Amino acid sequence: MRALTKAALNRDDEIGTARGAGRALSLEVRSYELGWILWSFGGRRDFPELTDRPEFTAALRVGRSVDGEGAEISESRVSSFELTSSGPGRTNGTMVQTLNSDFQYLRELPATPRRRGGSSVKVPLVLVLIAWAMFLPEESSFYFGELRMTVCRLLLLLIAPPILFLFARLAIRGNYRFVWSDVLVLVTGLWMFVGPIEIEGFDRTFVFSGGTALEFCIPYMATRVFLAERGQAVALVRILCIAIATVGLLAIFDEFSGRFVLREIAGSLTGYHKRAIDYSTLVRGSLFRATSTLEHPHSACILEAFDPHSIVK
Amino acid sequence: MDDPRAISAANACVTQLIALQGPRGEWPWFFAPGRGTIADFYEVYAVHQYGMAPAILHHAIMHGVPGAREALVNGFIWLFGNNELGRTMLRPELHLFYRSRRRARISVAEPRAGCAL
Repeated sequence: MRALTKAALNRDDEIGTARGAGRALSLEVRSYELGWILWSFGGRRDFPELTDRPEFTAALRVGRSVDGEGAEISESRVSSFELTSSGPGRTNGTMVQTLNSDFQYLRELPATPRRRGGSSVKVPLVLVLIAWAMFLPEESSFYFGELRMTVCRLLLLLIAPPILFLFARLAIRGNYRFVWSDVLVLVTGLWMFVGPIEIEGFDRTFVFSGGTALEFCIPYMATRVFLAERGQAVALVRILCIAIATVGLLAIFDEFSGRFVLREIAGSLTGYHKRAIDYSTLVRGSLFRATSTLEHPHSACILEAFDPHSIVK
Repeated sequence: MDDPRAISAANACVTQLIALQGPRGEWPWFFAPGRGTIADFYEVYAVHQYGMAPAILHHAIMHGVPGAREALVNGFIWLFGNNELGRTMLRPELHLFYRSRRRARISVAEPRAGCAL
């Protein structure tokens, strides 16, 4: 509006040379804008006075430091071009990496990402348990009355009250950041329960659909509550990838034996068998339709084709 | 891209833009193209300083526009404290730049919250 008004009135704007008065900093950052700096300076070596500035080196050091070691730098220090080091022999302020240096001095960086063990970020135990429990075979089910209970459902049932409490507390916090999935998942979960009531009645719906709604809503809420630190979401996805890869590898036993080996073993332990399986109908061409620990060959096929990492990226 | 008339027009345009650059290297946001002046300097965006202006100035340097290199460097250095607040725009621990400088009396929080909904 200001620009339009000035243009309409044929008035020009001046910025002046006075510092501070009437100016403010937008306390906001947008990562995608950094694409522009790469577009303009990536690979260039003809502006060393810009691309080799110590601010960039320092920023990279801070990002790579682990356990508080390495270069300590603050905004004020950056602006005055000072770089200090708390670790003996780690850095003397020499530039080791810049916009155009292609990581050529990686060995000199104060700390590098850990290769063994993947990430140093810890994923809350409850999320790890959910991630693994959801891949246990259906034959590990057991009954509470008419209610079939899996290990995953039992876990979700136990953690549901505190998760609901923490999720509600998260939603009423002042710094709560709204995402549409918070509403959509809850509404969908409610519909998974309310919809069947109209047809099946409450009792049967509670038994047959309650668990499904539980499996749908509680893991989502758990991730919203517990994934609080940077890198935890990626670390959880890594665990899911390991679980999926494990399920895929275990399917080899089914393929070679022509039977659902893992599910039969689980069933022999719990006594739960869903129904009699006619294995003769489960061959396509020369291949057996393996399921590994999952309920159906289709589930196994979709799961193994699924790459959670690509979604995170 | 090699049309001499287009290059000549682009060079003239860049020369005028360089003439309108702020005293500390700021790139204005709104221009009045009919008059060849600035309609409003603010907000001064970091991305203009480190990305968009350099993108065109690299070509201007290549075509020998006087003052193009100095304008690029001055605009870039603005980010690191040579600006109206005397503060760096870089957040090293986040590997990010603050987005912009604005007029202090304009609040952008309310309309942005509205847009988020």
